[in-house]
Amino acid sequence: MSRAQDDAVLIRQSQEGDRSAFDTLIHKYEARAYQYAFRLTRNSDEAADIVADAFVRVHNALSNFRGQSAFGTWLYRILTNCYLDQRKRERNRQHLSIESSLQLEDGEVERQFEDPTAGPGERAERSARESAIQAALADMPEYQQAMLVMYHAEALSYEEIAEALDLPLGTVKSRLNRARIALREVLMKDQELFSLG
Amino acid sequence: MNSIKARDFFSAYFEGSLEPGLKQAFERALRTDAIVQAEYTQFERVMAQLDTLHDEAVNPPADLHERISARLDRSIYEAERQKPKSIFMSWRSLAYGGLAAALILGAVLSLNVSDDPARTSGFVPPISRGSETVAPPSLLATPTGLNLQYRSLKEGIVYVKAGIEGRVVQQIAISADQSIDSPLNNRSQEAALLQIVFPHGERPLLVALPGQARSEVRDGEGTIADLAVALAGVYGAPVEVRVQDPGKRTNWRLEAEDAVDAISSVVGPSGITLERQASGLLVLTD
Repeated sequence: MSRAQDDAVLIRQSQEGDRSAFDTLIHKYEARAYQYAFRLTRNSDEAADIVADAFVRVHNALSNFRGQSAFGTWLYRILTNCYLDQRKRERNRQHLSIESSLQLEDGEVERQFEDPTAGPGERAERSARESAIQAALADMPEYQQAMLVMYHAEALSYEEIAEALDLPLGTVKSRLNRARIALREVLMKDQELFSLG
Repeated sequence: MNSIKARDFFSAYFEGSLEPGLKQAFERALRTDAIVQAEYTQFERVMAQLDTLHDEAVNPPADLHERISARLDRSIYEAERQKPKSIFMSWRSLAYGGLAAALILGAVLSLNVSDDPARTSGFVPPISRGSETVAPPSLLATPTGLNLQYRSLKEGIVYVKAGIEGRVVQQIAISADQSIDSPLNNRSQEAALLQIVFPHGERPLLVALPGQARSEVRDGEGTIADLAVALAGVYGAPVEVRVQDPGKRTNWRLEAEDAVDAISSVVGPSGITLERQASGLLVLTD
């Protein structure tokens, strides 16, 4: 039986309420799911959280899954959405904090908060730990980052990415091209700042 | 082809998928435009660096599966906890005398019986002794709830049942010329259907009493009696059922803010109407 046929059986059993079948499905895909999430977040705890959230969403939406796409591709879509949602929540938390101010007797004082976006120094440190390309990826807009990781790290084809993100093939190709060019600019900026001599 | 336009074709040229005409134009730009040349060379380096991403080995934490299972278990538990209780089961048990519902109701009803009209909590029309005409038993909506009013010339027992021909939850023995004028209370959380049966052939009363909590379930299907319970639950108002066949099936969607508006849009075709009496009591009739 092929992988797709295996998945179809497990999915059908899971849809019928067989929890052990769903556990088997989790076992099959959790490592790859974690790999993708880690490549996006570069943080083990965050990646594990994203994977756990994703499988909860899979469980809740499984009754609607009709096999229009491969299960793995569907899972990539859910993982990507979980990642984007997590980033949005983090940005909202920081936005609320930054806008608050303290009321003292002498008048208002602005709260001082650490700028959440990485400055050149922080990127330099990160470069020491990770490759320059990974550090530059972390500074990309999340959607571009996800597409680059899907294609170059996870080795998904353009067609699989189109299916995962529910986008036309031409759109995926042009967005990936723009993401690569944007990454080039981030890398060049880092190289200008940190080149020797 | 200028340098800005040329960037659109970097990936396709790199992958060898550019169509012949465009490929020719791109290669001409590569040969003749120094900016295109420099940018494309940098692009090739980026592509080589991107290819190294695949080589990174990523090992999941040892407890990953446990974390996923724990999150899933918690999600399933939360979903079950927040699910509204099956109203349909409650209605069936109330309509046909389910034991559990009857036991709950048995503990929450209060009826006052008095043989002294002056001591009743509400108004009961005086009936002259010897008259063979008595006011039929009735329900009266008050600011605080719903009152049952009944006067019997002869002794007998009034039964309060949970649902239609359901289990008896209360019985009150009354003597000749005794009157009942008493609030009907439902202290359970959910709306409940009561049938009040009188001793001398009077028409039984069927009424849905709201519970302590409002129901959020606005869609449903069931009998007319079930609909009365749904209305009482959603709108927090007692509903008397005065139809020929309370067991007739129907379905509903209670979207309007007002019960009378809601019912007219749902059950109009089946001939059932809901009217609000002067006292505020809602009555389902056909």
